[in-house]
Amino acid sequence: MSGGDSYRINRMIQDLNGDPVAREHHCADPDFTYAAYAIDAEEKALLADGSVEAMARLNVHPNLQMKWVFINAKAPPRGPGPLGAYRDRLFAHSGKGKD
Amino acid sequence: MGRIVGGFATSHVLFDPAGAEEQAERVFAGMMAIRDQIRRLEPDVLVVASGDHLNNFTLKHQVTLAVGIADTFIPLGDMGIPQDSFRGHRAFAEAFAQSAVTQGFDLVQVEEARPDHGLMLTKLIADPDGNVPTVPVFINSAMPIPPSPARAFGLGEALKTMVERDRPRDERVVVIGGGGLSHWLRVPSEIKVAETFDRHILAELTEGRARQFARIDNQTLRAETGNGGLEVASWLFMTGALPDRATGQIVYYEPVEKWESGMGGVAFHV
Repeated sequence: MSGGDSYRINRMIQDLNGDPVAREHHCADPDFTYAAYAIDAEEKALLADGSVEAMARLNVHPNLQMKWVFINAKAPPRGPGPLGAYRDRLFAHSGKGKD
Repeated sequence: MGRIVGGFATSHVLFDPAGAEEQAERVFAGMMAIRDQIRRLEPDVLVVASGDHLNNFTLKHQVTLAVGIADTFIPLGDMGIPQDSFRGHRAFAEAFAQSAVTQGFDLVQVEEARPDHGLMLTKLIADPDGNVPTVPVFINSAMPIPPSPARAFGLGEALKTMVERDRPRDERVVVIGGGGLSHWLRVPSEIKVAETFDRHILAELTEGRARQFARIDNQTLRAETGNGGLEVASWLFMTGALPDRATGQIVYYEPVEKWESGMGGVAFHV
C-alpha cells in the first residue's frame, strides 16, 4: 500500500480519535465511516482483524493502531486504569486522583 | 545567569503490576526516588521533554520539535491521569524559542496542547503538587521522520546556553526527559525488551558519553530498541543541557517482559 493510500486510513483513525461524535457514530455504523474514507472490502477485513500483522499491511502508524483498538473496544475500559495500583502514592502529595 | 541544577530521565508509563509485582514495585520506587531528588533541588522551573503520541501532533502536520509557551496546560487525561491544569512558564518558553532560533533551531511554539501521558506522567513523577512552573518540550519521536538523537542533544545544548545567557540570576532549572527504554509498540517483533542495549544506553549516558552516544542514527536506534526506544531522544535532550561529559547515576532499571518495556531512570546533579 502506497503512502497516499495508507494516509487515507491513518487519517480516518486520527479523525475518529479527535472527534467523540464521529467516534460514537462510527461505533453505531462503521460502514458510514468506511464509505466516507473509501475503505474497500480487503481493508475492512484487515481493520476488523486489527492484529499487528494486519495493521502493518495497511501501514497504520503504531500509535494509531493503539487508538483503533480503543475506538473499537467492545467494552470501554472501567476502573482506575493502568495507574490504579499506584494512584495513592503517585498522587500522595497532591490529593489528586482520589476519586 | 540561570543555572541548570539537575537532569533526570525516566520511563513514562506504568501498567498493572499483576505478574510482575516485584519489578513493578522497584520501578515505582525508582520513580519516587527521582521525585525526592528533584524536590531537594528546589527548582524554580521544570523543563519536561517527551514525545507526544499522535494526540496533539498528528500525521496531518508532522511536527518534530516544539515548545509549549502557554500560561497553563490541561492534560489530555489518558492513562487515568487527572485533567488538572498546571502552570506553564511563558517568559521562559518564549525566551527558549527566541534563543533557539539564533542557535539553529526553529521550534514550533505551541499555545494549545493537551499533554498526554508522555509528558504528564513525567511531570507527575517530578512535581505531583504542580508547584513548579513547567515548560513542555515536545521531542516527537513517534513522527514518521523523527528528530535525530544528535538533534535532540543539540537542542538540549541550546537550552543550556539560553538558561545561562538569558535567564535571571540564580534561577534554578531542572530538566527531565521522559520515555523509553526499549519497547516495540505494535510492530512485528520477536524481541520484547532489549536489556543489553538498554544497559548500554544507561552506561553511556551516566558515564559521561552522552554526546558520543547521540551520534547514533535513528535506524540503528530503532533496530536496537524498537520504535518506542526512539524516545531516548528525550533523554539525550536532557543530557545535552548538562555540562559536557557530566556523569550521573542509574536510579532504576528493570527489563519488564510483562509490560514489554525496558524501564529505566537516571539522575544527574550538577
